[in-house]
Amino acid sequence: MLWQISLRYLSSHKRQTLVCVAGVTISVMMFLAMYSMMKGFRDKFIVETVESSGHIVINDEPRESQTPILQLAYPEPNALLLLDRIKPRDQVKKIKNPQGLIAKLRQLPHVVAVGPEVTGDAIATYGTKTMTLSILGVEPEEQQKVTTIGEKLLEGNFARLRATADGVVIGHGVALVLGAKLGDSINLSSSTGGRTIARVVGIFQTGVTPVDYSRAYMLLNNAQTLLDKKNIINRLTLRTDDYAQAPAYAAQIESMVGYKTESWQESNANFLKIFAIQDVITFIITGALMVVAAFGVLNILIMAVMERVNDIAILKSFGFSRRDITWIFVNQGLLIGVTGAGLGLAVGKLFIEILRRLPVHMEGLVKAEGLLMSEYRGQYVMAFVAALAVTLIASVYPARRAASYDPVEVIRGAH
Amino acid sequence: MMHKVPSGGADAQAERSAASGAILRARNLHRILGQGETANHVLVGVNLEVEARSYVAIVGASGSGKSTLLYLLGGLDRPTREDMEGNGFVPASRVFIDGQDTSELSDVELARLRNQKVGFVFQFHYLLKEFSAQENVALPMFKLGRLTHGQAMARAGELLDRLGLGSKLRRKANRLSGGEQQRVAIARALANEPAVLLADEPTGNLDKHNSELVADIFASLAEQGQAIVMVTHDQAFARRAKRIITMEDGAIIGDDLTS
Repeated sequence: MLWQISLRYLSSHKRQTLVCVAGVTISVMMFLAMYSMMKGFRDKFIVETVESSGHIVINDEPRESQTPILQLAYPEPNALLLLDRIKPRDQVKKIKNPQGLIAKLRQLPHVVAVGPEVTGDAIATYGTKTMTLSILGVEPEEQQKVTTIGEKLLEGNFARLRATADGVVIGHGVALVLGAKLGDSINLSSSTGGRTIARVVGIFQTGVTPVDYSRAYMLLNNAQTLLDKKNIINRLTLRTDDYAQAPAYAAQIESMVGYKTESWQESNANFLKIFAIQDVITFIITGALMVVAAFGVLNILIMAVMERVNDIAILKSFGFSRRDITWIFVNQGLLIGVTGAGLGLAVGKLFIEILRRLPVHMEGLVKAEGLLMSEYRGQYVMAFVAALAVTLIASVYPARRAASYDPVEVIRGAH
Repeated sequence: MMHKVPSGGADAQAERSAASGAILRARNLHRILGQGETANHVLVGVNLEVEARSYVAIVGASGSGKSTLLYLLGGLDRPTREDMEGNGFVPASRVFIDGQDTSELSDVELARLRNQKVGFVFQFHYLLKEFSAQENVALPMFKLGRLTHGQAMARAGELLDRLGLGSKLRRKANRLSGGEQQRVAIARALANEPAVLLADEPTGNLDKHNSELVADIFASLAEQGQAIVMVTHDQAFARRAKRIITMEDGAIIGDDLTS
């Protein structure tokens, strides 16, 4: 019965009610669209990063001590500690007994694959074009197990790294900058004096612009020669059974191997922070829209209460309690909220599909054709619950005000 | 020709009420409206009993406390407990509806009691304009919940038919004339077969024809045994009641039976 009264009250002001519902619908739709876009971008970045760089990387260095040695010696909190004229030591870094370590890591329950790598920088020259490359010396078979690089080739074949003497697989961006094509030979020289002429046997595109514009893969032995790191493995890349759990696995592995072990989340912490800020901005913008919608609900309900003062008095006179009156107006907020949020979900879904199909070329941190839209059930639930909560909160004040009317005062006022 | 109703102290009335089964009983009723310098002692220790099947008119000048008394009797308002100096009234102000002490009831319980035992008719009809005449009448029954939706609507239809509105059941309240609206309000007040019908100037907003129609309805209801207490300025209407209570300055100054 209370619902019936609420419904009749709302339907008696169809235009205002529709405007209110539209406000909620638009806020939900915008939330879904913006969140999908942000999440799509983030997911693309994460997936491509994780798939092209592995879940966990073991580096050839110990993790920086949390407590510098001077602080251990002088633990007073206010002591000024200063180290001056520290000379960098020319220390050849490497992972000791890499094959033994790889065998040990492969025994771990969550580790799916381990790939040995040697890394370093080299200058690539092709004709008059020069650029710095990040060289990754890999075992092609192992690398294709720890990353999906083998599937990202636009041209050539990753396995040809082994078949071709001094073969190199370069990023799509590198090829563009150098103007090199499949089968071309490029000069590579390292800071330690190593030089080679490498033939381009593949061009990959991960979709992550920084990777595509800087990375080149070589056979492990060839890279060791070029970088003057004979028999050195300075990085191990791991694939795990769950990339989301990488930080926990990395911590576990680090305590076991003693080398600095980074999960993909740690390696990309800066980007993840940017995504977190984007999320906050999305929530602020859509939250503001919802607040505006809530003010619409508040406004229509305050008007409804003022208009229904006599109704409230008479309903109370024949037995409606304060609680009943409260519910009559809260129900109106709920009806607006449920209808608006429900429509918002449908319109939002439609809007996402339209955006997904827009012919937009994106090339920034990630490269994609069309807007990257990512959906999951939770965002729909979140949008619905948030819209409902906001409209419910907006309806509480007018409802309580309605319930507080003294029927005697109202009737006296009408006399 | 009028006959005085025997009167006595509050305790004597209470004893008599218990014996007679009064529908309404007021004991030492005080009502102060406003606070501080603007406080107005509207009712000053009113004692009153209304018997079942009685037809009572309350008359008096404007501001004499008639409507305030009616609202207190119907549980729509609560009596004031203390005087302006903060001293409790002795004996405490009490209203009993069908033997139930309303001072002991919570707001929800009092609302339920009003729903079950009291029917209000006001000077203005206060119909819900979004609802049909039949639905307006059925609302108190929906609230009470004793009847199914269909049964409540059927009873609402019967009540409206008895009041000459059988052909306008589905008409929206704001599409009815003033007299028709007031008859719908009377039907609504009768919906839950109340122990007492309380009417505050029920003809105050009607033309002469409709006023007489409403007065006839009240007389007919009284003949059928419906207890009625009404406040009116209309002396002719008041004289149709079986008992006339006259108020002045918040006190009962006359309580007469009509012949």
